Order: sequence, then structure tokens, then C-alpha cells
Amino acid sequence: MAGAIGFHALCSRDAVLSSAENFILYLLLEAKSQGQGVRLPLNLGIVLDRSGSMYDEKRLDHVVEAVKYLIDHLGPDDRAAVVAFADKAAVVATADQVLGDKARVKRAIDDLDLLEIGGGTQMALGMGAALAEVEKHYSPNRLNRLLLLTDGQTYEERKCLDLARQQRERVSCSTLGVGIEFNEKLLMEMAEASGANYHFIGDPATIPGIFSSELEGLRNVALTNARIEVRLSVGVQLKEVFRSSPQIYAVKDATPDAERALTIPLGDLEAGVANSALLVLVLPPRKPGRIRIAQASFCYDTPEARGQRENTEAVVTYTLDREAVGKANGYVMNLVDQVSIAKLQSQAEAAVATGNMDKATRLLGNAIAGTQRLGNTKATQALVSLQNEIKKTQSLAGRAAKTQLLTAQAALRKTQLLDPESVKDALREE
Amino acid sequence: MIRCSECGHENMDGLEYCDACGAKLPAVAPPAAESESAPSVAVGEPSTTVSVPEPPAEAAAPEAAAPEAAPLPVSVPAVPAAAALQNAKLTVVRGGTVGKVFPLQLGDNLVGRWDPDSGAFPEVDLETDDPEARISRKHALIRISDTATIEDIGSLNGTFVNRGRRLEPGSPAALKDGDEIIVGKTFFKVSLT
Repeated sequence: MAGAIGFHALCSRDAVLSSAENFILYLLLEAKSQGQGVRLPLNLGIVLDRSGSMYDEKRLDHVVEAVKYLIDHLGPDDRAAVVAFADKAAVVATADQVLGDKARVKRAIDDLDLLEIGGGTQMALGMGAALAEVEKHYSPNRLNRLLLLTDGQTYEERKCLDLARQQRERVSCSTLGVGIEFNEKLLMEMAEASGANYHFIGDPATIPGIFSSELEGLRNVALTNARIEVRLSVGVQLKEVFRSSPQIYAVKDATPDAERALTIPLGDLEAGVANSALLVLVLPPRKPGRIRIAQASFCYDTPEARGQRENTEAVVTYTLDREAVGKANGYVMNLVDQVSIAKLQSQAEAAVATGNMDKATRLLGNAIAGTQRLGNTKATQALVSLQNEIKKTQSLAGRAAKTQLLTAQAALRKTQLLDPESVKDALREE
Repeated sequence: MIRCSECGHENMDGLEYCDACGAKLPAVAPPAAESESAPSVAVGEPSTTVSVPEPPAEAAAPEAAAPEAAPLPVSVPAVPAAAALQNAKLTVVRGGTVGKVFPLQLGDNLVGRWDPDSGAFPEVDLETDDPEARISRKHALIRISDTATIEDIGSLNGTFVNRGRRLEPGSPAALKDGDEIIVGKTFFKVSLT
């Protein structure tokens, strides 16, 4: 089993100059489980927003269709409970009911709109009820996950985030935001807490498709509770850490401790999908020679064995020979580009928030140039529309601007993985 | 330290993007500060009228950094040779304002859309001729010396010569008299005489 795991450390350069100053080196830590997933039995808690706004754009109809599809595609070992929330939370169907009488459960889901639970958005109550249901069938040998769908701002955001964080090692939480009213930052952070997925659903008609792709991903999970532990060598400082695949985002609270160690949670790993973290390191000046700059371990559980571990290390050569420094690693630099562009987009957002439209436009301009260079047409279009909207309205408050923002965020968040071979010469031609 | 050519921020060596403004940083010490105000992220560097940014003189760049021995498109000194194509021009034959003529000067001619914010000041400006904006701000570069070439510089909708395959950004294609160029949805006829 462990033989099928790949874990490696790649530096943006193997050789660096022995200069007199600190300098930046990018370190990519990438884990991948080869071959087929082991098909862990699922233990899902489906959390559905039934607030008043879910009647807009027939959102609820699409949700009903998606959940029924999901129930139809559960295997005999799978468990799934369905919870709806508004002002109150209600268990629409327990996992046992879903297993016992699918037809009856589907009728109950059809009647979601008849539940007398008010019209507000108490997401924390819904999460709590779903976690209680998931707990009934909890097992480390299952894939325990919440699928949380909402279209609005909830009242107790802090509580939702805390729930997601407390449970991160037991129950992961994928989030799905519909429309433009929800708090995307909250949903992203909740998903990031456990390394699960965040989806932005601009068009409600795509809800069933997104549910089925999430289900497909869950079926393909090979390893659970994965994380990367890093220990930096003396003198090496950490500037920033990002998840760089399969989704891109800044990793929060990953500061090295007194022992220069830090942990980056990865969550559940699908078979054949690269999961990586990108560390921006500040290296000190040194005399020529080979130096280990960091040690890293990839830790994960499989159904057969918990607490597995693969080790690797990152080594660079300090040299005085300029020729030896050579080209940067194209595969690493491609991810550096993608991460940097995503960061520009969020900086632009922050600039808009402080009223600095000029800066925001400029930052977006640089992000656009970057996505064009990478050939990411979808992201380019989204960013261009966003830039135009900001120029026009000088804010992000408008409906069109918010839609463009969410679209751009989602497009930049998804890592465009290139075939390492094709990257080799295509990318670093500058 | 690497000084950002766009905002002047001093960045640590080895950094790819400016910490302050996000512009792509040169791998070696940047040429001259005034070189261009455009975001240096675009594919084929040269953005404005002038020819190509001076290839970073490697010897004169003692900055530590990571010398990427950047092979810029050095091969294009726009030397107005004796046989230089003095009268090159583009004529719009389809889309936009049919019949409009854009004279091409010796050296680099940017094909794009006027956009001061991103530093796009094209010689062949289709801002008013392409209302659907199928053309990128910095779409393609036509170089005129004793020969003529066109290069896509990372456009969204592509550049085509004689309805062939979409040009790969960064690899110039030769132009001859009578060629047809498509950028976005605008069709041009090339005249070199």
C-alpha cells in the first residue's frame, strides 16, 4: 500500500548563489497516491439551507434533485443523513432511514419546503445536527464528511468556523455557496480547515453536477487525515505558505514553532490527484556546499493502517559559479505563478475594500497579464470582467461586480496542473 | 535586492512577483528604471513604441539574485537596413472599419487596444474599430526591418496568418506582401511595398 505513495520536495532551484544577502527560494512539497482509490465507505452529513432566499432562481428545486441523485448513488456500505436548516434545524432523514426506505426519504426531500423551520439562516444549528448524525456512524475507516450548501449570510459565523475546525481530524467539511449573497470567505475557510472543497455555484442549474462531482471525488479518496509536517533548518525562515494543489489558498496559522516545525493539513487525498503545499522560504547567505534546508514528512491514514509516514528532504547547493545556477524548475515556477496570481486577486479585493481603486485596478492588471501568460482563458475573462466592473462602479458592492469576483476567485482557486514534460521549456522562456 | 520596475519597491532576491504591486520581477537586476511603465508580466516584453528592452547586460548585473541568463528576444535589433520596408502598412479588410489603413513604422508595432492603465499604447490601436473587444490590449507585435514578422504576445483570442494555425505566443511568424492577418475578429491585409 505504502509503495503507491509518492512524496517529494522540489526547490525552485537546485543550485543557489553564495551571496552576501538573504534571498527567496520556493519549496514545493507534493504528495500523490498512485493507482486506484480504495473506495472507503462514506459517512455523509448533507446540510441544506432552506431559508427564504432558496426559493429564488429555483435553487431549492435543483438542490432537491441533486440530493435525490446522491441518495440513488449511495452504495450499500455508505451512510448519509440529510439535515435542513433555516431558523431551526430539522433532520429530514437519518442515515438509517436513507438505507431503509429510499422512496420515502425522497418524498421527504421533495417536501423540504413544507418543513416548519422558519426562513432565517442558522447554519451552525444545521451543522450541529448533521454532525450529531454523522457521529452515529463515525468510524476512522469511513470517509466522514459534511456537505454544506447555503445561499446566505448566517448569524453565527464564528460558531460555524469553530465547528469546522474542532472536527477537522474527524469530519471534513465541503462547502457549496449558491448565488452571490453568501459569505465566501467563511465558506472557504470552513473547507480549508479540513482540506475539503469549496465550490461557488453561480448558476443553480449546475448544483446537481457539482454534487455528483463531489461524490465522484469522495469515491476516489485513497488516504484520509493527511498532513505535511515540515522542519526548517537553522537559519531558514518562512515567509508564506500556500496550498498549491488541487486548490490554491493561503494556509493560515502555519507558523513554525520554537523547534522550527510546522504542520500543513491536507485532508482527504483522492487517488492520482497531486496535493501540494508551496513554501516561500528566506534563505541565509552561506559558504558554498550542499545544504539541507528542510525535512518534510507526509503523514496519512489508510483503511488498513493509521499514522503512516513518508519522509523526504530539500537540499540545495550553494555555489559561487553563476553558470551552475541555471534555470528555475518549470514545474515549481508554474505553481508559483498560479499562487502569486491568486494572491494578487485577493490583494486587489483588499485594495477595493480600503477604497484604493487605482491600486486594485493595477493589481488586477498584473493578475490578468499573469493568467494570459499561463493561458488560463477562463480566469483571464473573469478577471477582465471584474476589472471593468470595478472601473465602472468603483466598488464591489454591485451584483455584477460580486458575481465577477466570485467567479474569478473560483477560477483562480483551481490549480491548472500541467504535464511536467510540457512545462519544461514552455514556461521559463524569459 | 531587486527593484520593481513598476512601483520601485525593493524586493528580496529570488522573488518572482513584487511584494507591493504584484508585477513580475526580472530574474536579474532590471535594465533601467524608466524602461517602461507597463506591467512587465506580459509575454513578449516589448510593449510600446521602442524596440526591445536592452537585454540585461549580465556582466553589469552583480546582484546576487538568480541569474536566469534570460534569453530575451535578442535577435530583433530593428536595424533600418538599406532594404528596410519603409512603406509597410495594414489595411482592414473585414470587421471593424473596413478600408482603414494603419501605417507600420520601422521597429516594433504593437497591435492592441489603447489602455493607459495597463500601459498599452499600440501603434495599431483597434479600440474604436473593434467594439466587441475581441482584441487584447497587448495582442500582437509586428516587427518591421528589412523583413516583417508578427508575434502573438499572449492574446486571448489569438493571431492567425493566412488562416493557418493559431500563432504560438512568443514565436514570431514571417510576413510577406499580400498576407492576411486575423487578430480577434479583425482581418487585415499586409502590404510591404
